[in-house]
Amino acid sequence: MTGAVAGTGGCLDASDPGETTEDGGHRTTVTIRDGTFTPTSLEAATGHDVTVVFENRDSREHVLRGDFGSFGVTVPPGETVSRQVTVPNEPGDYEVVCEGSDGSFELKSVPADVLRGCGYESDE
Amino acid sequence: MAVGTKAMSELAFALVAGIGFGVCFQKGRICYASALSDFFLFRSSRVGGGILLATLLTTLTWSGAYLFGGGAGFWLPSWGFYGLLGGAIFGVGMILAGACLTSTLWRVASGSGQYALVLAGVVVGFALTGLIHPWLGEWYFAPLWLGTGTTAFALPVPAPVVAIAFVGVAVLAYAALTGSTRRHFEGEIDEDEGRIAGLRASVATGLVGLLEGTRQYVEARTSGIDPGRALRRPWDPRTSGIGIALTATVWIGVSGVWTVSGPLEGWIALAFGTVGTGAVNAVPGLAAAFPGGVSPGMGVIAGFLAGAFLAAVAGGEFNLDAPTRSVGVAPVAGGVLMGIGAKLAPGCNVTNLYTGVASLSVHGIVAGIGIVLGAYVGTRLLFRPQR
Repeated sequence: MTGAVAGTGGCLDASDPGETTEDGGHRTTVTIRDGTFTPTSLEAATGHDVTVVFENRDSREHVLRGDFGSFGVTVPPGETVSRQVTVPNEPGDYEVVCEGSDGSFELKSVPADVLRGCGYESDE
Repeated sequence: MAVGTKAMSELAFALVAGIGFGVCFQKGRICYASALSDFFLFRSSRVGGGILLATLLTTLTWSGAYLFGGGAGFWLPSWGFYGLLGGAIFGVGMILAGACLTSTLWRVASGSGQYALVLAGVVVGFALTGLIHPWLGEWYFAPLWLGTGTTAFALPVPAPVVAIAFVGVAVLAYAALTGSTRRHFEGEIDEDEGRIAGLRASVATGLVGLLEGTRQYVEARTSGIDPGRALRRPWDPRTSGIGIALTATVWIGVSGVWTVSGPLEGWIALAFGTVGTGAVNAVPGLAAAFPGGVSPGMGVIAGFLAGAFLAAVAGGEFNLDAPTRSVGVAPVAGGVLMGIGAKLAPGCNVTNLYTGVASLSVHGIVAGIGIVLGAYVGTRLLFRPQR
């Protein structure tokens, strides 16, 4: 079976680190530096689990909260924390904000099952 | 090694299933575009009846597959207004082209240059939509999304019960339409009859006609079948419908439901990739669709072309003919619209009107309605009475 990984592969070009990246490999790394996120958003398939690795390059702790589910994670200074996130079933933009700073990160939930068309066999 | 053997045997089955579909489509002249336009223009249900028979028989057998295997093998994507919109674009395109996607394939396999132009248009349509692929998810599918994918088979009653109820309603609706047509042409409609009484009379007339037609069909086949004649002559669309349903039933047991536009896009992406990685990467949609090998679905497409070719040769109908100038731009334009519609719906006539409806998939039914509406608009625009 061709999995959703292959199905979404190549959907978006993440060559510009500041722009939207994809959930290729169901795993993406987000760097926090000076309270800002790079990339600023992640496009992922509705209902899928994606692993987001938060890399804190600052000298202070960042507490992140999401406006979906019960997403919350604390990333100590200079450390890396990995979280599995279930992408909401309803398409839309979901925000992850950093408490105490203006930085934010957007999780873009897209209905990949239709974006991929009917040529892919799902592993769901 | 075991995985490789399994993949190879699935591919071999795919070719056989594809040949089955291709033979049935070519011999029965199965074309969704002509079935719909014939009905809208002349109230003819000959080809449409075969398609409906295929769909309803498949609904019954697939409900059994769902009962034992759940959603495995079914394509149940999320649904939304994009199904209506993309389906309508596809529907207009197939009327303009004069063929649906599958009848384009069997006509190309029969040597038609005109329908090769339609297929070229489909490739252009896929490529054009592929160029905007990076934005489709966020700017098109997400805003038009209405719900996650599901099927009526998932209702809290056994799937076969749902299937039988659906088939019953569909048969009554078909009887009402054909009965109304028959009463209209035979002048049986009383101007003073009420709407309910008229509907009842139409259903009764339609059911009688359906039973009579079925009796004649069965009698003609039980009195003996001449295999030579069956190879040479076109088939009754109902025979093709039964063949399609049988093939689809075997195929879901081996792999899954039958889809066409996606695997066809896989072949197009593979062809672009063969030209060079630059060619396929230039079109993000094709890069995303690039399969890396021949999937079972793509094997069915290859088998379909082979089956249609063999059927055309057996019937003495294979004829390489170049398109004439008189056909104008309609074949290419219709093909382009079909390619775009198949990406935006997503799905083609088989994926939505056959597989989607037979799966009782919400997306398939919504996109199928879009295709029928588009075909209606296309027919009315293209076949306007001359003043």
